[in-house]
Amino acid sequence: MNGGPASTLFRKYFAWIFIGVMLPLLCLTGIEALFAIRDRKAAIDALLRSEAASASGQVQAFLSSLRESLSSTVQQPWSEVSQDQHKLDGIGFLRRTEAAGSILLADSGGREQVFLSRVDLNRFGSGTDLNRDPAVAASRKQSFWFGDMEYSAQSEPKMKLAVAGERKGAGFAIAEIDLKAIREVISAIRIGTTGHAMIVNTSGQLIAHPDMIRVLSGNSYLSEMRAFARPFSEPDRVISTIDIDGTPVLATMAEPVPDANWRIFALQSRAEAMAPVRAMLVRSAAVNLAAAGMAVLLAYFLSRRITHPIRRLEEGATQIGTGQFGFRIAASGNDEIGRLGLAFNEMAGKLGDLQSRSDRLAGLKRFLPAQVAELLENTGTESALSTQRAEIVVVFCDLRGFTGFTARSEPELIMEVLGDYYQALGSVITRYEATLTNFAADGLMVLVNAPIPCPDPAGHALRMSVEMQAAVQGLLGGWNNRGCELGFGIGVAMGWATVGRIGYEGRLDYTAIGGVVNLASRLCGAADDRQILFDRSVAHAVRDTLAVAPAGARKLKGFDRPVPVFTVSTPAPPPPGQPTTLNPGP
Amino acid sequence: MADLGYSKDSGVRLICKSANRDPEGLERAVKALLAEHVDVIVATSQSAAEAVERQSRSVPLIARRNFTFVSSLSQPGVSSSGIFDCAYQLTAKRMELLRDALPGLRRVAILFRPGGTVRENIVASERAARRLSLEFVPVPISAPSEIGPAFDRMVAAGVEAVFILPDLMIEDRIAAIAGLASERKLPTMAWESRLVRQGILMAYSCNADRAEERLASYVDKFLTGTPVGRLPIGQTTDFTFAVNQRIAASLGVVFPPAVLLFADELVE
Repeated sequence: MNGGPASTLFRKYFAWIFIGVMLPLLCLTGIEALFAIRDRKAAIDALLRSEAASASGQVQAFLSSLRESLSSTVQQPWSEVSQDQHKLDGIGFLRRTEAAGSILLADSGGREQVFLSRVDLNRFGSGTDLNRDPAVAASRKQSFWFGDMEYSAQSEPKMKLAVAGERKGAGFAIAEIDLKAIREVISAIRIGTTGHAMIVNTSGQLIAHPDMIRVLSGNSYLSEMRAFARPFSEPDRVISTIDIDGTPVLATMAEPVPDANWRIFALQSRAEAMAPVRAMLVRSAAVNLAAAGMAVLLAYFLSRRITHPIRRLEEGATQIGTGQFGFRIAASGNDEIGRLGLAFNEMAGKLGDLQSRSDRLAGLKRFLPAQVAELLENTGTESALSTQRAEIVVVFCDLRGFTGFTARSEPELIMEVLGDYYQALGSVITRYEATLTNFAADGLMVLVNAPIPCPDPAGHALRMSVEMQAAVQGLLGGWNNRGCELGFGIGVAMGWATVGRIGYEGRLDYTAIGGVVNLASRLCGAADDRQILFDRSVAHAVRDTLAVAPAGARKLKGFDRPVPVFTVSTPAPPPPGQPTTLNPGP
Repeated sequence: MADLGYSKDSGVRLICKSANRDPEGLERAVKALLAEHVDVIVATSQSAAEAVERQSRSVPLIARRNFTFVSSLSQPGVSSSGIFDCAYQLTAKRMELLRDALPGLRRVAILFRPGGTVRENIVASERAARRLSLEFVPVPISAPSEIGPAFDRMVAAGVEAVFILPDLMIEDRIAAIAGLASERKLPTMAWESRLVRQGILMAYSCNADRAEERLASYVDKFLTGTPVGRLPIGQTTDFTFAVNQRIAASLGVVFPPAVLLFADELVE
């Protein structure tokens, strides 16, 4: 899951980028929605108020025209007009006023004189005393009177309207008005598709409503209507409430109609009123959803873009920690991340180089003294190790009686002896910067003048041999006291040989091949304890610096004729730590 | 129905059946409607409503008719609703208008076809005549062939006007009746303003068009889920007084100004 959705950094970046994209968008949407709701509410409020005012105006106009029409029947003093004319006045009123079901005219004394009806039989001159009738009593006081709404046979709402003639001696006119005309006014008011107006009187009676069936339902909704009307304490305030059929509505009440105890409402279902806002919200939600989708993609790719290289770096660091320097990052782009990748790759390459150099150095150190190996490594003159013919001095040494010693001794003692032996020889060899090519059990082969040439190789080799002999002899006393019965001999030969590395990758040794190696080995085999035998070439080379004593000619295995051998007559060890300086090259 | 937003695609099928002014045809029309398993039947007259009720008491019925049998108009609770057309009250009113139009009228013939609910109408007519101090002569006719002899009887009885009660057969022959009445110089009063155009002198009734419009809104309410029994019964508030002035002239009738003033429809 490198750099994938599960990594912590990825999640962090993903979350922040996502939030960064969505938060402003959501805020914007929220603010926009708030404003849209506010604006819509303001628009609806204005619409409801204007519709309510319009309904109120129409109702008032209707009522005042009714009043005017009714007043015209009682303009003259009663007695100045003939009965027939009163009758014609009444019929004229019915003719003019379609909403009127009947008209009753009473003389100035409040006695019924004319009654005209569209349904019932007419009455003339009945003289019934109407002074106790509220219509007459009230209109006498205030000249105009609205009766309460009454349901004729519990269904059709009717209302009585009374006027008293203004002139002295004028009579009274009482009309029964069918409220259908007002209902038509109210029904014509449409606010949107569901919005409408309605009139309720203070008793809760529904005077006008577009749903005629509801109006005809008599007093069935009284308490509901009163409950509906209760919160409307002042005109023109828009209230969010519930219509009596359970629909949530926005409603307002118009200014009251003078004289009538009617309350005119304009209402619209909240669902319809807020439909544009809802549509806007749905649109915004869709846009936000799409934006969220895009934000997810954006956040995913950006987070991946950032975390993937980091994960690769982490992985690379782990790989390099386990020594795999071949690891590389696919670094691209010119930004910080790209440059970081390039820098990482460069670092990995350099580490790899360092490691391989260190590996090579370790290989060189196996057969070269550490300082020589490092010198070779640092100066890069590895070509010195390449295969070539060189005049070299080969030094062989081993312990006398070692085979017998190993046969009769405990392994612990053998290993202890060998440990001391190599410790002693190793320090000398290292000091003389000679090349230890190989060792097997007690036998060692050391080269001088290869791969690094040195001046006076023969003398250098002999002086080293003398010191080696001295070092081992220092140990032999102790060993032989423990019954080891060991001795130490050295053979040295100088001559041309093929030198170079042999072996395979990971296990390369430096060695020399040639007759000189064989000769040195044989001389070693021929040497007694404490003896250093060397050939003529060595003797010739050191004759001016060391005391060389011929040791006769020896028959050596692999040599047809006896080989003249020499030995050091007087051991002349140089001061320790002053071997011939070693000059690299030429 | 179209005004209420219904169209051919609203999924409402309207089936119209006419009785062709024949009582038998009425029964057949109702039977045909019931055979179609209609959801609701609209009856635009008292006789049609009665015909439906004779055949089915369960099918919802929306009618313009007499609803004196329900206890509460606002909550009828029966399987029919509609518009209460105040027919019997209007019968009395018609009688009054006949008298007002013909000052000095004393004797009136009441022309009707016996059977059905006409009885209540006869009773209402007779009661109105008595209240209006008119003498009345009931003239039943059972078949079209009896119309001629009936007029002979009326003339013999010395009637001065003919008061015609609603009936399909009579409506079917209304032109003939109007013709005979004109011949005999008898002013006529009928039950539906449209009859005035066929030669009847006067008619007073509720406004049929408006009543039928209102029936349509009942159907709408029914179709939107309100059971018929829960629909409050409305009452007619629109009335039409129609007068045929051509016939009046031919009869030599001069209407008093109050009557002319009251007329909604003057047929020349």
